Amino acid sequence: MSRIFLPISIDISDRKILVIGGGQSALKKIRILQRFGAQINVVAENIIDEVHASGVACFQKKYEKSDLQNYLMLYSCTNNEELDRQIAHDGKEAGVLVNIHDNPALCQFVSPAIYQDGNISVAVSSNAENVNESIHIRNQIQEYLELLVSSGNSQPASTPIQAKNSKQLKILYGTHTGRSKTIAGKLAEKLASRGVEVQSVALDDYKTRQLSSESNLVFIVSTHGEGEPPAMAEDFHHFITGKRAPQLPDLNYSVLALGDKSYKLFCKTGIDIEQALSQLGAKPILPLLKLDVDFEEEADNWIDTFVKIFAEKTESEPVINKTSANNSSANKSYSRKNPFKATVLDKVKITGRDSDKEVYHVELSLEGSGISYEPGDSVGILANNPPSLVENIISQAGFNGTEPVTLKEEEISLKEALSDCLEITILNREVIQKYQEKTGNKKLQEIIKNDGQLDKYLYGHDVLDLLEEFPFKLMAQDFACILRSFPPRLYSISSSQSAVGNEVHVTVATVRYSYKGRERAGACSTYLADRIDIDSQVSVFIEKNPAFKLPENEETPVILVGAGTGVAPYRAFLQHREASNQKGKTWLFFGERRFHSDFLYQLEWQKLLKDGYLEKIDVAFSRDQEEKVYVQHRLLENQKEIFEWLDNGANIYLCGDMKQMARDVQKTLLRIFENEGGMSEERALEYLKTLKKEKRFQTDVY
Amino acid sequence: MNSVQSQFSEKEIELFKIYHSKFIIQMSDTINWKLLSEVEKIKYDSNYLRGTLVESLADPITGSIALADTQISKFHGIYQQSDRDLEKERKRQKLEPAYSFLIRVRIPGGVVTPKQWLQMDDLSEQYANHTLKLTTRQAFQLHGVIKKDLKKTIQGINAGLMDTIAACGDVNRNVMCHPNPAESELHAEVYETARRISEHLLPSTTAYHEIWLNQKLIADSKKDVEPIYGDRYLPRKFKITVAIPPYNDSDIFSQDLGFIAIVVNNRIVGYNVAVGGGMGSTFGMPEAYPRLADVIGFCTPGQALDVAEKVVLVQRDNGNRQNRKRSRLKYTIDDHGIDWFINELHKYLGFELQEPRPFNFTRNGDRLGWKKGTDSKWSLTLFIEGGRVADKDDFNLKSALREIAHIIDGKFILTGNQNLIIANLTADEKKNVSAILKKNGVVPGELSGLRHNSIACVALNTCGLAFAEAERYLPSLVTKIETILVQHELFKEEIVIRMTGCPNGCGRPYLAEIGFIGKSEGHYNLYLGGNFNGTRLNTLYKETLTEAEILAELSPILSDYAQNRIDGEKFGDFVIRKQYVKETLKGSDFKH
Repeated sequence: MSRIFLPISIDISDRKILVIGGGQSALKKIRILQRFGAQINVVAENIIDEVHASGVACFQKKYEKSDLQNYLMLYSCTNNEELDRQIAHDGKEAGVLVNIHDNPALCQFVSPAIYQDGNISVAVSSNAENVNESIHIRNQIQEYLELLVSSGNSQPASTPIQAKNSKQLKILYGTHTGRSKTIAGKLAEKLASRGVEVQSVALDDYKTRQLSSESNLVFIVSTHGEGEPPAMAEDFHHFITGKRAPQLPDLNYSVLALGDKSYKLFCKTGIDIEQALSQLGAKPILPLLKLDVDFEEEADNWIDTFVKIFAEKTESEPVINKTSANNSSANKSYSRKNPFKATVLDKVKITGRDSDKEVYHVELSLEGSGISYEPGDSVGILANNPPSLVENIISQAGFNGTEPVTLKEEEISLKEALSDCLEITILNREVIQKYQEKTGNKKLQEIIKNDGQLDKYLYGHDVLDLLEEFPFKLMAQDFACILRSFPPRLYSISSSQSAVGNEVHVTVATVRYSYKGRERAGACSTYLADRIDIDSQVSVFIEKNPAFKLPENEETPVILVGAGTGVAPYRAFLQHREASNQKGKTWLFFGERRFHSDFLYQLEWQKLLKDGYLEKIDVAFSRDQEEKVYVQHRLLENQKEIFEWLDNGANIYLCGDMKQMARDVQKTLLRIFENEGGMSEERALEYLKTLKKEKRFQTDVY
Repeated sequence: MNSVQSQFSEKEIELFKIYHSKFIIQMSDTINWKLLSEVEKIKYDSNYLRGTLVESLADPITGSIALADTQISKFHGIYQQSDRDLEKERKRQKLEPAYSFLIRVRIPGGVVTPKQWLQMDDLSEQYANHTLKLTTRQAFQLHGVIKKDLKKTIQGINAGLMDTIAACGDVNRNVMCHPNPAESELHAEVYETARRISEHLLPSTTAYHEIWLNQKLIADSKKDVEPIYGDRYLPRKFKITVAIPPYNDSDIFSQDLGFIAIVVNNRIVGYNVAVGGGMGSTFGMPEAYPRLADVIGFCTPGQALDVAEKVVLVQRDNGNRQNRKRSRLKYTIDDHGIDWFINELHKYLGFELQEPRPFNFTRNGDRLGWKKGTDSKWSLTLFIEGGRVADKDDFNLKSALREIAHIIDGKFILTGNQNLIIANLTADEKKNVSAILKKNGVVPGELSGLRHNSIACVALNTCGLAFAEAERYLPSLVTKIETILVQHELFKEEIVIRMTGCPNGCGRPYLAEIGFIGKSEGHYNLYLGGNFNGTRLNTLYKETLTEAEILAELSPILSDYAQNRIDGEKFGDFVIRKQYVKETLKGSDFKH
């Protein structure tokens, strides 16, 4: 009698899984399990090289029953029936779920044929009866789903063969006076009466990410002044006429442009959109129509024509050909050592004109990299050093820059090394030590001996200071060897892939200060601020940060505390929650200097608040009044409610400057526990520790 | 019911009946809001102008106030604006627009004491953009006040014994009058009339005092009543002025209601009543047009207040509340006919106006310079370009006026043409004032007759309605036109030139001999043929001109004017005689 298995989806990330056997079939299993983030151990007497190289922990030994301790499940790929039976038996006893390769009768669980893309996983199981059939069905479903993606339908039609429902249409309108919206409404009504699934959306509510999955779009958009788009269409206009617009070979569209002939650039916005779409390969349903101020009659005629043509066209249209859209297999692994060259899509200084801060928002493309990340993760950026500092160091040390030096077995010029490979904006203990050893400088030795003095010297000084204050003639190679290699800088990612797809956003405050009569600049922040621009390429990799993650249970309330660019990961958090439509208990505390110019991502928070993804926001702008007000003051003002939230299981997050903010906030939290929880100092500390241990208090400070 | 009625006079009961019969359906719960403009509901729901202003002011996430509150705040003299120069930049920076507020101070007749001037000067430095704007309605405007300073600013204005109530909104606005005591010894009397009308027509809600001056909420705010305005106030703004012929300095025919003083033997025997003027219009909406007031009768000085109130009431009960573009008194009159209006007004008044008396206006605008009054007191009418009081380079106007305010005992009087009169000075004070002005580089130097008669509204960068520059641009355009004037020896010729950034008409462009209305940045419609005494609308001459085109269009006409004008013929009359444009005979004929 055949058995029926329960199909479930299970999160195995960081769960321990044992693979017994070290051959090709084990390797296959390992590859699959790795995709789901499992922590895999292999036990086998013979282990092939590929398994060794796969990054799993290998124990080259004979199987013993005691090997089964602490595993969630095991896969046996021994190809030894007797041993398999033993393992199946032992597994059952030890409470480990068992899968025996090629022996379904011994399996406690079986692996379905799976297809996974984005958030969708499809698993086909034959209940261990017919693997080939499972695979065949899986392949069919996969084909169908890919077809859907490429033809722009997110909802599957009723039968797999009728893949494309071409009777869907969206009307996107941009209006200043409401006229475009009115026309959109009329058109929608008429189309709906012909059985078209129609949706009318304001352009500022439309997510441009959806564009490539659209089949039919109608644009109704006005122009005002000298060719200006209405405010609500500005972003879309910018996007579609910019280089970020995707190719749209499967899109059918029409543009209805409204304007006023007494202006020179009549209907310019509509014309721009029409041209952009056409250049992106989309096909017009009706040619562009430009309407003057007395538009009613012409608009009505156009609507009738459009409805007739569209309805006829879609009734007779055959299913479109499949276009290949499967590039997710490009699964190269990028890392710190092998960074991905990401194109800069956008870069904008997001502090206002009169700010004394300089914060940049940079959007990078991960297109084609296969890189994925989660809210809370960081992105590593490989920068180069400020050119003026490189020049000054070269001349101060008496070089000309062309001197060859060998770094990591590669010969490059000193200038290149100083610019790209070595840390020069910051000093550390080791560098000073090495420099002292090479130069034998007595004064420097004094400083090194005294910890206090050394710390003081390390703060704010760079390699040029060292050369200026303790000059010594070095060989280029020796000099290069003294210096530390240039580490990538990590920034908390300020975007969520569920909202931005193949992009990663960073929020970076530029570091510039004057010290000892010289202007100093942070290496990576000024690299982003001064030395890259839109279209440049930046080397990046993702650094996971499992210690800074949204709670697994989306019902858990979260309190997010951030000052300055410390708000970056919260933008990612909330983007994620918005994309997955998780409303509810979120409370943001944000601090900066001035409301007018430093309220980072102000418009986005306002929208999140309005839409209910953010429940509360409290802000502290330290320089808007006589007395300095910081986030911790806002926390204290809200102490009763904060404590209630925590008491009800909320998670609290803290991100930003380690030295000041983090310390003050933690102190304030302790005070809140004392005040509101009636705790002693000790108990409060204990409570904070517990929160940390339970991962309910998570910090990302730097 | 009897006890309630007994509080009112018979006449009031009669009025209430008229009011009630017209509003009986709407006063019940069945007001069909769908038929009315959105603002009507906002006013009705605002609980006598409270709205959610208190909550809006406390919201720390935005520098703006809630959308509905932006309508209500106007009744408190406050407009929300944003710096349009920064609009795109800030949007890209993911920052909200740089919101700030315009505060308009109600100054009936434009008369303030030196102390009040100093208070305004101080507030402009402390909370606004360091300038004072003198408006075309004899009021002060502060610009650039941010939300968290609003209350402090209003409190400062209050401390100066001024207020901002009803300086904007669908109520009677600042009441204007002839400004110069040295020009007319009747100034004091018309000023008193203007002041009384202004006070009488103030909304009576206590919302202003609660919200801005922290005066305690009265126990039950429902007790608020608006005996004149009702719970939805007027359909639209309402403007009143009082003039003393021959001076038409407040452009009486541009106002909803005008009183023209009739002077016999140096005594005001009464006023001619003019109704239905209004400047605002809209591009692409021929049914919205500027219109000049009709003189419908004469009333005695004692009747003026009653006439003002009843004209307001007729408009309250009959004005269009569906379409705000058609809701000024001028449309009520054109839609029902002037005879209907007169008849209705007589019903409300309970008496009939007398036949209008003859009068004659010779000019609008201000006469600049020193003038000695019959009381031997001196007054100086000072040209303030664009009404903007500021220090700029070596032209320290603001500092000079501050210094003057410290030493004089007279009055500062704002004119209806954005200028300033320093009035009631002794001969000694006159000397000192001259010296201070000279020291600060504010010498009334040689102005062209064109610049002297120029008006520009604020427009960009703060006015949300503007399509183009006005105040920031007109001075330089005038300089360029002056070159043409010099060529034709017309430099001293007084020509009224006005520019606004949009067709709503704050700068009364439709009455100008040369009028400009902004179409889009750098482009203006050119209107010609208004006259010098403000009794004729101008006519569209050319559309959407750039600066070069403006100069190219004006140059030959000015040349023609210089060579072929009849003795004493004004420019506005000349262009009609020579058929550059056709005379606009009535408002509804006006075209953009």
